[in-house]
Amino acid sequence: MLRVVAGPLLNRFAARTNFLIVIGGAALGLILLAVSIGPLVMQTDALSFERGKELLPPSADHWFGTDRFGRDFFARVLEGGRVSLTAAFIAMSLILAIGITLGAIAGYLGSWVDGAVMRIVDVLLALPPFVAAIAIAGLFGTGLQVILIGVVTLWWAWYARITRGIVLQVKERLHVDAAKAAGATTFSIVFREIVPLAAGPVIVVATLDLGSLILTIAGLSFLGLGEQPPNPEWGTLLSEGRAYFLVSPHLTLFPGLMIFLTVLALNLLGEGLHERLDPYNLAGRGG
Amino acid sequence: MLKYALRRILVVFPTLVAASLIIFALIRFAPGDPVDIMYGPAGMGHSTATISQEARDKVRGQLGLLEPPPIQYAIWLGRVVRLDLGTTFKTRRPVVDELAERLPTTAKLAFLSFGILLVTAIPLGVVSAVNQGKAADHGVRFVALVFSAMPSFWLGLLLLYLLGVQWDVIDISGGSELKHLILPAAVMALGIVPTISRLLRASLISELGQLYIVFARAQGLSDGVVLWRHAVRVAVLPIMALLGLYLGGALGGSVIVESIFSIPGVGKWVLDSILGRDFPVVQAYMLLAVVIIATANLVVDLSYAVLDPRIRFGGRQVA
Repeated sequence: MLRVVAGPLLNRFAARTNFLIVIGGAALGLILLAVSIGPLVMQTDALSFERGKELLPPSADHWFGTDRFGRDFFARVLEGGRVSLTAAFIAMSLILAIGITLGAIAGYLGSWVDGAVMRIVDVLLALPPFVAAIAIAGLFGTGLQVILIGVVTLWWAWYARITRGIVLQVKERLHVDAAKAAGATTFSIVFREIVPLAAGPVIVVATLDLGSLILTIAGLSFLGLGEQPPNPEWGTLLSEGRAYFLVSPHLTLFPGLMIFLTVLALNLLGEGLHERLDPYNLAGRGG
Repeated sequence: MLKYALRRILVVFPTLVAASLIIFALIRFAPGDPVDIMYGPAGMGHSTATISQEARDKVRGQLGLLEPPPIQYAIWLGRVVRLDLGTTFKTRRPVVDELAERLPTTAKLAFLSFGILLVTAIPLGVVSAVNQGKAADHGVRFVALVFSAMPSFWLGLLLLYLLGVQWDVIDISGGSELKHLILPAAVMALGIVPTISRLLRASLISELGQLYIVFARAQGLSDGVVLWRHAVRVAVLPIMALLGLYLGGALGGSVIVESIFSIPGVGKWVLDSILGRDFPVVQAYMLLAVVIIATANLVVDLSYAVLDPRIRFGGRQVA
């Protein structure tokens, strides 16, 4: 009965889900291509000045106009995107590496290891993430590295908790017992038998979360805590442009638009993946 | 109920102690010597501006920096409990006084944005749940996806430009009166409206499938009464935790929104202090944030217990 009703419904789901994945994926691919290849092939340099061309509005020569030093803003936005997105990907890789490893170890070993890891996780999740990241930046100075350290320190806890939940279900499976019986070390059981099973669902959550990570990093940079001028970064560009907001709104428009489009593409992709792999409610990060 | 409440309140203390330890450790291990920050680094700058080594050591002694760390922690905690958060490096005024000046503005902003959040997210969630799978549902979902991708700092600046400069319909001079706070409050709320409305949608859909709804309908109650008086009231419960956290976070000040709209609240004060490396303020702010979040969680849990008897009787499943 359920199958008869659910079958066509799931098919329709799949059709729309594919659409979301294709649109989101294509947009993201295009953005990644532009920011990775763009800075290499562009004639103009993101840092080179040109006198007499300050604060020009967008034109055929300068697609995104120029900034207060006459630097081509299109080149700066692309270069800024390379910095922003690289930072977000590095941060997310570190978060996943730490979160999955600690979550898997805590879930598999149980007892006091589990207790210790989960208490740390509880405390970290109790801290408001943005405030805490700001505070870390405040104490350890400014710079992109500091922001990354701050974000990673706080963010892994969420992934440790998800991974641990999955591991608790998975560790009773037969192949784990088989590996144990075959004399595999704990290390090999955790990383060969358990982590690969937990990784899939966790990566789906990570795709959805990458957008908020990009927003957080850009937000901190916007506040002046991240990448420092003259190096471009999307948040830094926005905060530089803010001063010329009334005369040259294009300096705030374009970097923000790029952040928005990237996060939107990630949201569409994440939404598609999320429905594809789990049409019911997979844990959402919430605020 | 009283027993549950007491037990729940007691749980707060270990969390606060752990958080205070982390904050203390962060400040202790942060690079930069407090005396250098207060008086400029040794042997640098003009001779008149620097102070001698003996004077530095004396200041260190006065600040208690020569004691071993556990004793420093105990002294510090003792002061914190008595609401003595030290004086700022910048103005040399008590941190508590500066905080008290800014808290009302931030609180106004927080409650205003909380109100905006409720009157937008709840109807949106209800509309999409009732029209599940129809055009209205997809519409709400699409708008939610778009808005959750929008950086608040960008949205804030764009609105400031369009409404304040191009069309000149709002006052953008910055200040703490209600007319200055509506747009910032809306920008703050917009960031979380998508999340709340989607969670409400999911929770309401599952409530509408419950037997008591069928029963209420069978009694002949109108659709509106069934929906708002029965289903929505229950469906809101799972979201309260997030709402509480949001209000808590907002009371701690929105650094981005206050900075964009030049609102003289807690968030902007903290940002200025961070950029000026004014440690006592940063420390006080972290403590404030932790206390607010712990309180918000406590209030949410207690109100769950009041509203849902299953919790206060120890989680026995009635349904």
